[in-house]
Amino acid sequence: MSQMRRGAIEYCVLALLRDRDMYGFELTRALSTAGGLVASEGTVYPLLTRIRQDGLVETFWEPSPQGPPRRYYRLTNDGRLALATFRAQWREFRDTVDAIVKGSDE
Amino acid sequence: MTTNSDLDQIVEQYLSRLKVALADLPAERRQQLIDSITDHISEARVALSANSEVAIRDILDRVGQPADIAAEALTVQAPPPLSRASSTRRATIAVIAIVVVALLVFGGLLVSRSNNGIRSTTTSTVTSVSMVVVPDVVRLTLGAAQAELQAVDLLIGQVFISACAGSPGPPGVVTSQAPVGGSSSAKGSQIRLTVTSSKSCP
Repeated sequence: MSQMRRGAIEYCVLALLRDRDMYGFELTRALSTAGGLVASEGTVYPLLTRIRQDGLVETFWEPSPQGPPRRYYRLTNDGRLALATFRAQWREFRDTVDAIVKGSDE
Repeated sequence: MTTNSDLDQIVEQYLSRLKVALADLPAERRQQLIDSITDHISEARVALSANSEVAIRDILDRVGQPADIAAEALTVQAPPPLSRASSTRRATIAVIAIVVVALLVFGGLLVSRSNNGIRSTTTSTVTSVSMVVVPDVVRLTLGAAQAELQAVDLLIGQVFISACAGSPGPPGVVTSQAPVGGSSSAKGSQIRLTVTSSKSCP
């Protein structure tokens, strides 16, 4: 279950980055605000490190208007591709699980 | 009154605990993670309107327990990561392909087996349904023999009439049959009979 959730969170990160680049604090706060997704903001960073190593996101530094420079995360082409693939797979997976779970419920 | 350096110290203590918790990670990854979380805390503090101890502790609470972060960092090393997802997907497709091929092969075997099954069933059906035991009609009159054979859906085939009646016995009596009684024959098949002649032997 935690493995499944972890996988889903990674794609949530990619989805958040689809429309705009975000810096770590912004990204992890967005995920932790969406209830029940992550245990804490800090636990997102290991995931960020990994999807960066995997080439799905890349980072760059930007000066902050207030405080230290920020490390921004940006979706790569591979990341976009992975997200698109996941969206299709997820829809199918969700529908199948829904159908079975609802079916056994009623 | 909590000073800024007191607050810094709370953060430093937290980061020290985090370093200890992350001790099992490779040095580079550990440093990366600590840098990221240090930046995160700095950002959170910048966003604060008032830098109180309560606010700082709240930030650290949101960052989470060092043990949780360490557990996550150690876990995400092993499991199938995202970029490997494409190779995983390829592997999955390969596995699916193998399964499909296996299913086709086995399915083919099963189908051919069940076809065989149908065939043998048909055969056994022929044996049990279409095949009958030929009654022994020797020594019966032709009429009685015909009745016996009809009763099991057999027909009288060629009837050979002996040149003349055998020594004892009346004419028109079956002296031999083919196939013989007790053998099996297909329903509707003809049984050849030889009957005695009404003519007396010279």
